[in-house]
Amino acid sequence: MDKFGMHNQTEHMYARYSGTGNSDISKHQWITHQHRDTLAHYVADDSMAMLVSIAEGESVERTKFNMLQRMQQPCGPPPTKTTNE
Amino acid sequence: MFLYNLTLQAPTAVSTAILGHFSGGKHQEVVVARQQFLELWRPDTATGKLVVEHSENLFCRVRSLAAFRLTGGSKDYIVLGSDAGALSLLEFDTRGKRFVAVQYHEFGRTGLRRQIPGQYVAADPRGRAVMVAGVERTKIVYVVTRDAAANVMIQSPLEANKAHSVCFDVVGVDVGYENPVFAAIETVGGDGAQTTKQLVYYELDLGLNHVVRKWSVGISDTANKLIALPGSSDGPSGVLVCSEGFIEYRHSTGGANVHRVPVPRRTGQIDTRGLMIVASAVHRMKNAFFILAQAETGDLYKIAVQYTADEVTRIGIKYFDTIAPTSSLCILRAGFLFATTMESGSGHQLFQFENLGDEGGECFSTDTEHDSVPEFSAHELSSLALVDEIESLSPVIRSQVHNLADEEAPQIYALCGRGARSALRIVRHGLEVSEMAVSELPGTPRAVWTVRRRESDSCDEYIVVSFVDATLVLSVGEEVEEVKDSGLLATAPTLALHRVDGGGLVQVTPRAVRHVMADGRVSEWQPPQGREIACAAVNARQAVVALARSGGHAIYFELHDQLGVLREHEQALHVGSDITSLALAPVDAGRVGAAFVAVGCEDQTVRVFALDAARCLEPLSVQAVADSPHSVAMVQQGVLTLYAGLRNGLLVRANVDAVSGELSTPRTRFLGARPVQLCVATVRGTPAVVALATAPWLCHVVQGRVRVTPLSYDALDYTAGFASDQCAEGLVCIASNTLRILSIDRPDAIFNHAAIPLSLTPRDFVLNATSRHFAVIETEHAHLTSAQAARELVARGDINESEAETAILPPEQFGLVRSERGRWASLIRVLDPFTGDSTQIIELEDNFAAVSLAQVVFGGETFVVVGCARGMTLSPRGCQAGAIRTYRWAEEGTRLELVHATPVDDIPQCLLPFNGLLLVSLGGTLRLYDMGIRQLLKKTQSSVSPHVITMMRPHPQLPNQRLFIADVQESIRLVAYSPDTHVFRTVVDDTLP
Repeated sequence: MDKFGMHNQTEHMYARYSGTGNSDISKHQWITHQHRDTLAHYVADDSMAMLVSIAEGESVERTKFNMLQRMQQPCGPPPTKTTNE
Repeated sequence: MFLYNLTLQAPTAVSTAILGHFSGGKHQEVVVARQQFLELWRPDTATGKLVVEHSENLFCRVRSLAAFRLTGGSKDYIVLGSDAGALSLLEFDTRGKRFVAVQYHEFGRTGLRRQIPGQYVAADPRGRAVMVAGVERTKIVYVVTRDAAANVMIQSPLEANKAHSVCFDVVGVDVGYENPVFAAIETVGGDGAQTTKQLVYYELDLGLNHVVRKWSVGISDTANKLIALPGSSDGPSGVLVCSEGFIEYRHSTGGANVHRVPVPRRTGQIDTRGLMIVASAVHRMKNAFFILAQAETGDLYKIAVQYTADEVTRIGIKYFDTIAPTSSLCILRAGFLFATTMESGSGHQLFQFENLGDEGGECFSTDTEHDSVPEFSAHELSSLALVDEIESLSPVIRSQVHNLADEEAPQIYALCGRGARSALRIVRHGLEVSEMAVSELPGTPRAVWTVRRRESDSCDEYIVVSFVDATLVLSVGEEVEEVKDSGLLATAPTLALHRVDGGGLVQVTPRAVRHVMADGRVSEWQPPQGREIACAAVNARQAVVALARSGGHAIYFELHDQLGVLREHEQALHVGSDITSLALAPVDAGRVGAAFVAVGCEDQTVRVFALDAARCLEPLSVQAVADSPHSVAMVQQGVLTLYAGLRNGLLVRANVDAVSGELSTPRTRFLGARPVQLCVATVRGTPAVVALATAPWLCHVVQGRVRVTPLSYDALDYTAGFASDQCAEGLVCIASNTLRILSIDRPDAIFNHAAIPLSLTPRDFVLNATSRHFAVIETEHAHLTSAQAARELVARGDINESEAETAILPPEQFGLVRSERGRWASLIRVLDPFTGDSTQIIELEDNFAAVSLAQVVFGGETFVVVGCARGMTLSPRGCQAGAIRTYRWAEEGTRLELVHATPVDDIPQCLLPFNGLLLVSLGGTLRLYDMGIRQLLKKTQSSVSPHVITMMRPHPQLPNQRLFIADVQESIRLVAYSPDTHVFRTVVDDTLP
């Protein structure tokens, strides 16, 4: 069936570009990727980081640090198996 | 659709800056990143001025920079981390004056993506490799070499990826000539599992050509920044890891021996959390080095590392000085500190070191155990002295365009900056002019010249002022005083004046061309009986004079080399129309005289005639213009350029062919309804034309292009270039009956600003159009005003009442006192933009924060409405109570008087006058209020937006029926109001989130 090794290549692409998403992704995984993308963008964009820092009354450096820190688990730990949607 | 946008002004915030020898010369230069602009600045160590050498739009977002020098090279290259998905190695091309990409390697998609490298770049201190890292997972190392022709080459990338790791900082570790090592702070631990933070060393094995994770060690979870220490023969190598509240030394050979020092904090602080280091600079001297690090409060610390041959023995940290919070620090070898800023509202500053802060103050070191955080008392600048500053507008929070000062062009009023360094800035299009001297003259002068005896002189000798019937000669020196023995005729007006080769002067008056020789003899040429000279043009060897009402009769003089006198040329010039103005072309290098003369004629033409021996006084070209020229000028601005100022206020600029004298590409610009007088001056060593109309304009060359910019100054009548010991490059001007000496400090800026300081981060402002006063709301989260902080400290018993006045440091320099989240400081200010005075300051008590502001007319009277919230929390969003305070203008619009406060149940995020009523947004709900006696009266309410409305704007064509509203999460929608049912409903919404 898998004449050209397509399945293998797809797997490889998923591994390489994490956050791509597929039909089996859980809601938690999906929202985590969304949050990570957003946070990474805010950290990379100095104007956005400054906007957030003024709203929060923090220094830009600390705002960026807080957002990088949040990137590890932006939506909390993954739900246990029973509540998994 | 995505478009490139070109702005009049580059962003003023600087996100990063690097130091190096980018031109390859002896001087240290700074490359700064201003979002999409990359600029080369040269701190002039002799004068202490910052000079912007070059600015270039790269059309990408510059995220990180590193300076990089090949082993044995003398020129630094720039490693650019951008959103282009590529590594760029840039070189500053000193000849073409621009940045050139010497290497460019694509590795991913464009955009600010978390897994595409570019967020961090680091270079090996010995110039053998660079690392580019992304926010998450990816790290790429490039080996950099040189090919046979000494070009910079990069080898194919080597990946050092680690899944699910978030990177906080990357630096190149100085390991001498061993294999290059890069240090990174990153988190480890799978997706979802408990994560820990590590310091990781990546080693590039040059022999095997691969990258390995050589060493890692667990560090504090709050680590955010790395500082690489000098290595090999200059230092102990390794890195300092900065975490919240402390700094520790780590190195792969250091083993378990960890040196840790706390970051001291100021005394009398309310917030007790640890400080974060935001910027640092390592300065290497002979046999020693030190580090300056800045905490988020703005305090600078000096860190000294003591070490033996193989290990670090002690780290000491000491408070150094306090400057505004910076985005990067650079220490120049000439003893300057350059600090760039992104957020503070003050500018990018250049400081000079007065001392190294070794005297006085307590040094905290690793020798002693610190149970609590050590404290110090902050002081005024003692080790640094500010020498120059390039102003920054960033961040601009709100801006409005008004013409309050009734000037020619309107001004931009912008709320800038944050915290105690915020300001209302009045931004004008034009160059900033500093006035050095103003003196009154007897009568109203017509024109002014400066003259020196020899071309090589650095200073002018005389300032010559011409009146209607007299000439005044002033000497330039310590004092400017009148001179009688100059040999110049004082009883007639002067039409032109110039130095003549051989030490003499030539003065043209209406009845004579006088050549005053160096020994005082005067030779005079007089026009025929009954004729007067109308205008003249003179240079060091040539003179052209035009006779009045002669139908364009002009006489040409040349300096006779043997006799040393001006001799009339045998041919006269006949133009055929009365001559209004004359100008000689600048003398090209290697020639003795000007090749062309430009003649402005009454018949609305400008003509160019040749002056060289072969075709003397031959007509070369004619340019028809819209009105008769009032004055003409020719300057060398890259190409020979002819300027003509017309009677109707137009300025015409055309290029002149250097050989044929042909005029090409004429451009016209309206400068103001007044005849345009042109004067030639020097700006930054290059010739420029000052065009005087209703306002003075400067036509000068900036980065190879001619730019016409107004001067932000009064209208002038005449001007001339001026140089003296006090002012190397200035202008001497006349304006009505005064003589003024001006200088232009920053000819490369297009805008200039005046700042009126505010005390908290401004949020919004409205203008009272009749009294021309602004009402500004200022709100600060998690900080206290000086008065609040003093009360708090007294309440806690840290200080007593009598000390309260002096206990709090001035916030303009030291920043506001930080408190905890959920605490707000807020005020409403009425401001006179002309004097800068605050006519009223209403401080909001009880943890109220002003959120929104609007000016509404109820029944013919104007009210200022302020939306406030008490105990507001940002996440989750909410407040204990909301209120809308209504003020009326009192005392002719210079004060506000509270009418009443209306309680509301949510944060009144936006206010807008609508149909003679007040529209308030509370969360996703719109509510209409009318004026009442004791409070505002609720008229109608509709829920239109799914989350929180952040902005409302009336529809430009139907302001009473439709409005645009912006949601915090759900884009923009158009809402219509139906007056019959009193309901707002969504008409159009956006498909994009």
